[in-house]
Amino acid sequence: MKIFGKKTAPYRYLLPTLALMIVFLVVPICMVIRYSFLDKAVVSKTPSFVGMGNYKELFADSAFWNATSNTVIFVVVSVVAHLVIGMIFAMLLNSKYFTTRTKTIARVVYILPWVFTASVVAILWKLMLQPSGIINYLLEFLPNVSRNSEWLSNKDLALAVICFINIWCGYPFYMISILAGLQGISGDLYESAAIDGATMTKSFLHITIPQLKPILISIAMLDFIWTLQSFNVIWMLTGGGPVNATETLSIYIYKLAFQKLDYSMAGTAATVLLVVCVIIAIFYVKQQKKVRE
Amino acid sequence: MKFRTVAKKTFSAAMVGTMVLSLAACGGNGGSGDSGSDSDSGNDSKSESSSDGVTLKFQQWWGAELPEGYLDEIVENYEKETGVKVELLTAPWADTKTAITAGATNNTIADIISVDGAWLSEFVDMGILADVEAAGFDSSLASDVWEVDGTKYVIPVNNFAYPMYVNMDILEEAGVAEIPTNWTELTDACKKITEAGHSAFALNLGTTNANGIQNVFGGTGWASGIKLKDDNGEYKTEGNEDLAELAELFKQMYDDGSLYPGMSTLEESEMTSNFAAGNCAFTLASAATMSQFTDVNFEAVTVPSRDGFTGEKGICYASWAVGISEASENKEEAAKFVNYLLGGLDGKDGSVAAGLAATMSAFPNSTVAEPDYSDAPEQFQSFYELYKEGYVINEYIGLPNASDVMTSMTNDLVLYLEGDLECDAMLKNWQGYLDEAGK
Amino acid sequence: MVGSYKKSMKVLLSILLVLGGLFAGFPIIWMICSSLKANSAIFSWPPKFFDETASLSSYIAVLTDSSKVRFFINSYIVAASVVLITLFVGILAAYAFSRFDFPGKGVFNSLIVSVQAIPPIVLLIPYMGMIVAMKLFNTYFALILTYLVTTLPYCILMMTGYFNTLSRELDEAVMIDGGSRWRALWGVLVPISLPGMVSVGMYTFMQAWNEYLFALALTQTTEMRTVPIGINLLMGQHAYDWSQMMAMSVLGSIPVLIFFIFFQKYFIAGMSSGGVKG
Repeated sequence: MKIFGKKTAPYRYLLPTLALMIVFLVVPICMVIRYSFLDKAVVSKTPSFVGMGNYKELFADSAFWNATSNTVIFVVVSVVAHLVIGMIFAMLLNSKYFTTRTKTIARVVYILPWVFTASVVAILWKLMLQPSGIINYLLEFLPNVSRNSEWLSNKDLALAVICFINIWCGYPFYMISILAGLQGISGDLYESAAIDGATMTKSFLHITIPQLKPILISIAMLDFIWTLQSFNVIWMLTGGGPVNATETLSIYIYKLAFQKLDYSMAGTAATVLLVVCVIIAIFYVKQQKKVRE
Repeated sequence: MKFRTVAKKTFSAAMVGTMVLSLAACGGNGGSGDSGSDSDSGNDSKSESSSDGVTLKFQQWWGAELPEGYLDEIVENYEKETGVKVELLTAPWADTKTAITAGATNNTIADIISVDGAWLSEFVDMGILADVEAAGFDSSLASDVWEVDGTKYVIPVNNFAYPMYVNMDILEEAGVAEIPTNWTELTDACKKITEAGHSAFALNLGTTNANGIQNVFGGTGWASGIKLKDDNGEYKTEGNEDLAELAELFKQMYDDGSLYPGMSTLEESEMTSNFAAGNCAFTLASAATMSQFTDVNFEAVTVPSRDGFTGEKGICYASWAVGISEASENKEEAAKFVNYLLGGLDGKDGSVAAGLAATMSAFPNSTVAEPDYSDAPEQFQSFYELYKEGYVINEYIGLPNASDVMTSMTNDLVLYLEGDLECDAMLKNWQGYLDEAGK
Repeated sequence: MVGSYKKSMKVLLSILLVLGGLFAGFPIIWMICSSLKANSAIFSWPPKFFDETASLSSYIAVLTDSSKVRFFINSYIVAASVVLITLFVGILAAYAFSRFDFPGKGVFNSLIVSVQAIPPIVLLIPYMGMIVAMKLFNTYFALILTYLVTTLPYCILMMTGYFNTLSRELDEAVMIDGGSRWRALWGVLVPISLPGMVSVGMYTFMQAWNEYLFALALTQTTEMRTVPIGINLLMGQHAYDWSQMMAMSVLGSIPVLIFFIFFQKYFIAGMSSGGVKG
């Protein structure tokens, strides 16, 4: 009966999770890592072992570095903007200047971008941003904006537009989480700060931010990983174009896997991505430990 | 309380069981890649109903394009007449290739699969497709069968020609009296239209589905006999003067501001919708979309040719084509169904093929079909006359790695049009992509 | 003076609130307007919010098409199952992380976070192999099992944080009365954590409802397809059915919104306690 003893108790609670994670993540991930050492994995019945060859090829590919730099810009801008906008909206919805009813309605309106399928979000924005779309129509009063203004198809703007759309559909998650965090901060803290003569800015910097820090780090971490893989919105909007200006790593990997049918290289790129995320995750877990202590 | 403990332990045990089972299962799968579980995996619910007959699975996107229930009726009739059930597996057009390649790696692939010209070579390379003649397909039923290295793999059912659509109202407003028939007239017309405040010509160079290089750019070239390949059938783009002239035509239109804005992310679907809304004067798009242009006054013509060109005009086409999967256990039955699609049960009845063609404003590949286009738009009827004077061509069908090559070529074309790449360099790059793909 | 400061503050914030609402809501308004237009009117210039083609025909077309209704039913079945199983399995794991210290805790924790980094697209081929080998291809189970992997990590993180905010004395009280840990978890902790569960449930539902890639590859027949596939089926080879696409997506969002409105209070509170202690 030892397996039902005290020492195994936590593992028993973890068992379903571990079973699922091992079967549906660890095993497939191992298979993907294996692809990265093979030539013509999946496509050929007898793939040959090529060692680090695929990695060398990957790092020598300028498209990979282009995708990496696009991804870094895309992820950093998205995560930071999500955080800032989420914070502003959450503060707004938490403001004592509005009635409960106003806030209730506003909350529903503000989470709207979150409840639609990614491919529809992409199509919707494409319709609005296309040359004869509503955005150009409404912006025509501005100088330099005409019916023919290009947004997604302008090489210099495309990545910024993609970021904007991603920010639009991702901020509600932050907003809700921060809003929730704000409810948890005791009002006494602000009151005593006010007695000490602290300004609003000061109490925001010295009370709100530190109190929210753990939740901010958690959601930023999750968002970082989700944004890294964000695929559907970009693919449907630009397909990585114009001329690879919006090709992120996830698009790069998709093209390798399903346009070139090169699962070996796709696996290689995915493995590199995984290694980066594991390193970041280790920092995250360490950080979490510090918070708890 | 006791019950809960028991429940918990049972659940845990079940999870362990699942885990072990699945580990073992995927270990077995890792070795060879195919475990022959095809027939019992996909149609668990169906197997009992077809114990005496065969069930064929037909993977396609056509069901989503045809009128509701049209394809279902065809397979129901087939089942009534032969007892063979055909199950329709419909996936979105853009993801059919993903679904088929993923299915091929795991033996869940259908017996009959629809194939786009751009996928042909990759499917053959992966060993997905079977020799259709060996399976029993009657080649005399089809005017054209797609081959790779002399083996017949894929049979087009419908061919969609790509006419040039012309918005007559815009032409009139801009003072263009005649539909242009050569390049000079075309660029002049485009200039007038642009001056009149309209967009003239739509060229889709988006890369979600990079087919504008084929349908619009290529289609314009083929109408003047301009090809990617030389007379020996080798790709020859580097130093190809004809292609350079074709590129310069588009460059001139771009510089004149005549191309529809946003070309580098424009997709075919948006291009046709824009034409349907009267947002541009000219575009090259599939004849299948003609029935949607209900709100504009338009004509469908063959593409203007290079000044002085008098030869027969090539007309770009795309197909609904089918192949039989190598993994199928019922290749003969599958071939019979393909025969039925083209020539009915007796090989003389082209009504199924004719019906499909007439419904989709397409041309049948069947030699025995005589479609009745009387319900088609009148513009289609007049285009049909022009179509008979030319020939269909698409050099991208069977091109190895086609979607990747077309994306790369498209990107270079955008760079060239925007002035960031020289024409010679672009054609040299293209040569590189095409040669590389062939290896 | 204080009064006028307050007043101008209120005006300023109200303007901000409206601007924010426009930022969030305008595209959705445009989506609804587009879903009411005829397909050919969507690209018309100048764009109008409503035109003479406005009608509910796209909605009627979706709701009267039995295969499309089936997509909705499938999506509900899959999403609801994923929510329930995620909560059950995730709560067990969160309980372990919150109440025990054991060797390997840090490793498991970082594993759960980092494994999400692999793009699903490369996992697709291995998944298909496994699902086919398990004879689950083209079944609800194929989708439910694979979705669980993406929804569990968030559930575990949030619920661990939530349980951490609840005093250990709560479970000890149950055990002193002779109850088991199991009983303490389900009888005491879980009922208190209802808000947390609602927030996790909503997030999980959204994930499962919107997933596209696995639904495409792991199911095959029309009877097993989900709403995102149904929406993409409207994107044809040469032309899209824009208005029906918009209508289907509006219809798909309604249940989630109703759920949110209904559980708003819980939702906010739930995120709070879970997040704060991370």
